[in-house]
Amino acid sequence: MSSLSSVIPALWASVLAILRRRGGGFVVAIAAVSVAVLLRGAFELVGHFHYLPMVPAVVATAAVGGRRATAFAIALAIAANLPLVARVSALEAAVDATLFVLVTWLIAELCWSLRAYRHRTGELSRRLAHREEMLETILASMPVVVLDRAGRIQFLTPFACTLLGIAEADATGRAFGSIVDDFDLADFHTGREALAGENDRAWTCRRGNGTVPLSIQAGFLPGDYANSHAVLCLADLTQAHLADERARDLHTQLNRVWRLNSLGEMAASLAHELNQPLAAAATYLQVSQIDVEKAGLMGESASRTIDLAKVQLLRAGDIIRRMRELLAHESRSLGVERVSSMVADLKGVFGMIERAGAVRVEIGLDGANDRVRAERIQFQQAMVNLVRNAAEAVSDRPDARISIMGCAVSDERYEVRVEDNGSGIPAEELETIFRPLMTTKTGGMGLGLSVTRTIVESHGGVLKVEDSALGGAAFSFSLLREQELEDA
Amino acid sequence: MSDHSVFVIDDDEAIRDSVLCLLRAHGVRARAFASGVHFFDNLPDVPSACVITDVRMPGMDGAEVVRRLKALKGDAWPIVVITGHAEVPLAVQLMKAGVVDYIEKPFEPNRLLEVVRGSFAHLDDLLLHRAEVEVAARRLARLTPREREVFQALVQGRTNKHIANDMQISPRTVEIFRAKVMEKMEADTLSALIRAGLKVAPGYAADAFART
Repeated sequence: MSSLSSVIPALWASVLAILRRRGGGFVVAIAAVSVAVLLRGAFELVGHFHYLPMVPAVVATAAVGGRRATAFAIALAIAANLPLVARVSALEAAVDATLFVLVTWLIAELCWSLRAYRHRTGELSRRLAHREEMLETILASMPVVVLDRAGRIQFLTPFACTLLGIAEADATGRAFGSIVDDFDLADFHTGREALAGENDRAWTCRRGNGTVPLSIQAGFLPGDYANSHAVLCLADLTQAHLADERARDLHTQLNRVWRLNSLGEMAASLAHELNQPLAAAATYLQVSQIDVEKAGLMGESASRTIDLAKVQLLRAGDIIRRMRELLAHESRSLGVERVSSMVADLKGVFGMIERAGAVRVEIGLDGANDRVRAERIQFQQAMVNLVRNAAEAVSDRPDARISIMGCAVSDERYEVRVEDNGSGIPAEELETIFRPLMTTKTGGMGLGLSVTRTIVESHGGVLKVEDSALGGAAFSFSLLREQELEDA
Repeated sequence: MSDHSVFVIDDDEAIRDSVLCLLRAHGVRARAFASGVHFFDNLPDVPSACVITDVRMPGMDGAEVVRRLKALKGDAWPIVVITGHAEVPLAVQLMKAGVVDYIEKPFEPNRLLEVVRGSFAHLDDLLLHRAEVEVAARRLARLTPREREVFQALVQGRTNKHIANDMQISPRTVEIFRAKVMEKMEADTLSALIRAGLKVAPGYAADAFART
């Protein structure tokens, strides 16, 4: 038996090998029919079997071969029968042959459909296995939790264990609401659709000493399984919250600096505007003194009075100066900063401007050689002012665009440009735009550009405006480069 | 006061007018310009002048005026900056750029006058020095190459004996050269000769003669 069990697979393998060749079925047909003829010869000792031994031969051919090979096997079997079997009449021979054809063809059809089914099943199970693998991979890389109807954890992925800070063994069977505050499965039931839930809502998970902000997406299984009812997909919001917080912090800080700067600018412009007439008055008085002194004794007294008036004018100047010093920005201390890093901080703020004004802010700074002497927050204030101005200038455009460019223009200077594709600044306004309290906008104080200019000047630069290649205005200024450090 | 002019650049009409009044009352020739652009477009053709400029002006600011004027005229046109908006970094930058003084508005008019007088005195010195240099250069041009060699050595403080040795001539010949040099340079003493030499070629570089 052992030899037989080893022979059969070997035979089968060789048969398969034959089959794989073209016309393999025909070889099988010839072989099977030959074996059947031999077998029938052997059975002749016992009785007459006619077609019966041929049936397995045809079935064997059908099992491995196609329709042509099977038809060929049937024809061979009939051909082998006709001369060997003595017949009473030709009619009986014909009926026998026809019956044989019908019966064997029926069996062959059954064989083929069986083979087709087997093939399809194999294909299906392969595909299923592939999907299973995919699912496993996805689950392994995501924090997913499966709950039953009562909200108890039935299954959770390793990633979910890490995120929730809980061991798999401890978690299974626990109510999810005991791990995540305020969690209620019913919240997700409002929509019957697969992915319901409030997208903006965040949950808090107590983990160790701290908490983790989470976002949860829930899907419900359509079937009525007792143990798996809802599939929760978790996401850690810690990083997102931190980024939001940083953007908000910077915004608050910029607002505070803006208020201080505006106040300082008001004081400065007031001082500047008042100092002009004061200086002129003092000078005029001095001139009048010269004339008055020519009048002799009388004039001398008048000259002394004029002197007093002059002193008062200068005192007014002193008062203004003191007030300005009080309100002016705290002593500016320029540090060494990288332009790209200072602008990178502002991406959150620019994002707000982009969303509010439907504009696109493009940043194209040369990150090499961008170490400059600057005061971080003041520089950022200036940049935000320029970008905000540009955003207002392009607000009525469908393809609103603001571009921030920067590069080293010489060994000493790094230039920053803010351009827009708005309508630009009319030539007659170019003279006055920097003046404090001058504004073309309805809701502004007219301090934006003058504050910006003050900041730029305190950095040893000049704020320039010209026409931009984009079509609108281009504001530019340069900062002093810090090279010693660059080389180090 | 001396015969120099003062040019006032300020966008404020009252400042321009009052400063002109003040300067003219003190006998100074003065002219005013409403902007840097206007000033450079109508640059007065005088060899020396004092310029008083504001800082914050539309078009061209004071720093730009200083930069362009320095490039154009150098030290011959001293610049005084008056500003209603004093900023320390700006003041430092302007002082570095070579302005004579930086005055905040409102200013004591006498202070402005003093600064103008001071820059005039500086101009006088400068012009005097230039005239002397010119004279010395003219005299120097009269020397023969050989005499120049002797002159150079004398100014460097070398003795007759050394010079004779260096030039491979007799001390007697050096004496003769020396007398000629003194005569042509119109110097009665050796120290007067050295002074002339320093004026005409300060530092005594090899190409000093060619430069003057």
